[in-house]
Amino acid sequence: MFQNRGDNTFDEVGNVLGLALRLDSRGVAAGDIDGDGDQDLVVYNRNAPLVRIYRNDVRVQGRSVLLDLKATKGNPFAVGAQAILTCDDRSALRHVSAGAGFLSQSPYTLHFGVGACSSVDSVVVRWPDGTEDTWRDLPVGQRIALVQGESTPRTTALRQLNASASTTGQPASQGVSAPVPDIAVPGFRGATDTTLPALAEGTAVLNLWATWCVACIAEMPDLQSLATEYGPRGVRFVGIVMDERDKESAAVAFLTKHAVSYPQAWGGTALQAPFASLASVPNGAIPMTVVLHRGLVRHVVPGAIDRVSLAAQLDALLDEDTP
Amino acid sequence: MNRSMTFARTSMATMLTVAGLGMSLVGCKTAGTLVGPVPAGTDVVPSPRADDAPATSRPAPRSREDDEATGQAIDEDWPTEVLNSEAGATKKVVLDAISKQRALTESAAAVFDDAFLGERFDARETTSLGTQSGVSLQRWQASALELDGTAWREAFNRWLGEWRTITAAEVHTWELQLEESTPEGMVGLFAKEALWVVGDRADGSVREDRFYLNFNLRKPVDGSADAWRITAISSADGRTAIGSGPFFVDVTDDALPGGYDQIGAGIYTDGGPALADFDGDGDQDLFLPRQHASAILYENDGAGRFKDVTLQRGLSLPSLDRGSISGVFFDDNNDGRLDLAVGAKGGGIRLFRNEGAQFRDLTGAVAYGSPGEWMTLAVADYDGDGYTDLFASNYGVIDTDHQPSSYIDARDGRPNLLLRNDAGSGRLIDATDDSGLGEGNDRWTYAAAWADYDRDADMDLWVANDFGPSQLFRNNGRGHFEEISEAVGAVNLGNGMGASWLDYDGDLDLDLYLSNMQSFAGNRITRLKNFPGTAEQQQLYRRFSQGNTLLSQQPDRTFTDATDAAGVRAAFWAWGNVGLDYDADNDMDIFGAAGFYTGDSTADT
Repeated sequence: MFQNRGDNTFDEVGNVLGLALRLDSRGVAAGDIDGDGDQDLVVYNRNAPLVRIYRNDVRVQGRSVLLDLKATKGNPFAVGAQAILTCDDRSALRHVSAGAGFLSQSPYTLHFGVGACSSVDSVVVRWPDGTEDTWRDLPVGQRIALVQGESTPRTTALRQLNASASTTGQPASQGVSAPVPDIAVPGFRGATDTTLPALAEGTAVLNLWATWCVACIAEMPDLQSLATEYGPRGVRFVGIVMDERDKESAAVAFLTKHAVSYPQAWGGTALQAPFASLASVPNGAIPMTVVLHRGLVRHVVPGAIDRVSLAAQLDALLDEDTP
Repeated sequence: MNRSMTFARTSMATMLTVAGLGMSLVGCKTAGTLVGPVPAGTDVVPSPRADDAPATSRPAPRSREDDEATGQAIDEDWPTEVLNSEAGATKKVVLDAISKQRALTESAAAVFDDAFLGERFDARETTSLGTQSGVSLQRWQASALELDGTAWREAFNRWLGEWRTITAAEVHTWELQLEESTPEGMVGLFAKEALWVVGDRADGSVREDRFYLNFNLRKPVDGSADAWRITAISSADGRTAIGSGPFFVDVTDDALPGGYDQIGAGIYTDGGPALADFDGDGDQDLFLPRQHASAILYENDGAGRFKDVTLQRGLSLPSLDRGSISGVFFDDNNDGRLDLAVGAKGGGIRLFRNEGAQFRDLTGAVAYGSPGEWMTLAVADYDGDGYTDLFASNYGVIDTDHQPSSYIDARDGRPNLLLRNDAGSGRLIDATDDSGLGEGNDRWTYAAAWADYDRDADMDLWVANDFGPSQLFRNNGRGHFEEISEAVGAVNLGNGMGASWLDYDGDLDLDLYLSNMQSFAGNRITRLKNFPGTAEQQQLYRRFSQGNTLLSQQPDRTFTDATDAAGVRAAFWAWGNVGLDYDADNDMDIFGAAGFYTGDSTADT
């Protein structure tokens, strides 16, 4: 591994980083395989084992921005597009390629390390057809889908990275005590429509998720086990499906695959903005978890939940109900 | 370089033979049995441990054990190689002490000349290069030759003690010269050894020292091999890196079914992974081609654990059971789902349509380009019709009857193929000649990489060739290509094996990082004063042995060689490479895969 010293000269530090691959290696691909936002490595070898996977656990690092570019003119995965991301007066260029190096392909998703930047000033995408789009003030620590010709990031495609130990600066749980806005929540697959105030009559945990959201997959087992644990104590868990309604079969398959049994409601684009207003994250986040209690919004977690913290918050709310 | 030309003594011999220079440096002797499709009569050093033993989870500590002692015959045409072979046992006393982390005791005193002078080896002066993402770097400062043999051994032993455990040490002879001012009746040899020494320190951090160790050795002209004595040892270009992790963790055992004992143990094969989200659930899935076995499709569970879904997804097919070498996911019909193209060495290229639940083979009875030596597949919409097309690199067959016509300018490789997407119909049409890529289409191509490097809204192509110059093809905007490598200074002299477009310097244009072969033996003999041929030839052959190339794009769209300025040349026998920012600090790092580490053999490459 050649580490860029920051002045575009490099030091070979592979041995120190645990990449002393005394193997007969061939192809290599870099991509976020565990959904925590950093780049892991897949190395193909000519001697056994055929492939090795190296998880990136580098602790001393900045934050990442992952971009999924969707072209509306020409090839949808935007092969050939170039993206320039600028923050803190520093710009970086990535391009979408499919097949390079030696016999290898790294993901379509573009990865930018943004160091200590707290937000992205701009992303300029030059699409395969030569046109350009610019987005400003994008959040860091997130996976964002940018669609050609859409001047704002498509909110349904904004993805919150899994809050792992290696990703610094995740938005913390925001303890709040605001009245519940009157938002209608349509039932999913024949379930009864409801509203946020109705859900807030008791204690409820709303989890916004989508089928494409990697961090959602990671946190769902925790949510399911919390639902099992706190359901009997009167806490309602409701999943809010942020996919569009034509993805119903995908959503059902997803719930089955990840063994989620608590009830669901439709969110989609319509509910993105209302829920975003509950969190101080531009355009909201997916996943996002909101805790309602006796007519108030009590906690908002943009990004993945921490099981222990959420359990403690629920315990505290249930204590309030105890005379 | 092909497997059949595994080790550089062989390949250097080939290079000289091919060049008509009439000298050889053959003599690598083999041990153990050959495994895999290695043509008979080829000099390779297989590694019985790496190939026959069950897959092991951790690399064994390396040593220079017995490579020289096993008696590799060295051709008399290279006197320095002969002398170095003879003096090897003397040098080995010091070098083995490093790899075995064994202090030099009084018994080692005999190999040091009475007049020995050495530089201070422990507690040396260093210049800090700073700490970045958990890795601190110190550059060694040169120090005077001031220690006698005994004092040098003590300093050396203290240096060895700075590691709790040395886990890996590598030594390669980098340069050999006859000493010029040797006293009457004596013969002298200068040997520059390249070393990498890695291990754990007492505090749990990892330390690696990289440096050259310069040996001066002498013996009486008529002395026997054991008469060699070391007269001086100094270091050059040393640096120490110390890292406190965690950094990268090998999670193969958890991530893949079968873990280390997966698929593929003992199967020799070139290949590479394809990472893409073929099922659209937001995580990166994995396609693994295998040259002598069925290909495998893995689905990611979102947390980085992979499940074999080859059968479930319809890819358990006879056409993929016969072997494949590369795969690339791309959307052939613009339906938003990633389809898959697969290339086979000695077979053809097949296209599999992703129909949601399963993949379906759209290829007819005869695969595209069958039978070719298909290597890297690279995708781009070269003609701007909105559908992505496929470029396939074709190599060639090397065996005892077929060798490239030249080491540095072979024009007898097999033709590459540009397959035009027929508007998503599922048919691919040979557009190689129509597009202009038929020109100069006779190289030994290992890899290719597309990019709109000049930002004029069309896709240009880098073609990485073995045994000759690589090629940059510029697109004229109408899907027609012209080779402009030399015109824009995009010249890669080396055995091109891998290529990536990346912006290494953050100046917002795409540069090229190219994996080439690095040969220690090649470096040695091409530095010799008695190298046959002209000075230009020597320079050229030497360049071919040096390693990777970084071509930096300039504002006027030309390229300059920034390899040494950036410090990214030496990467062993490099294959794949990829640009990434592993520590997310907003600059471009580069990871390169190196080949031909084979067990404990440290024979030169």
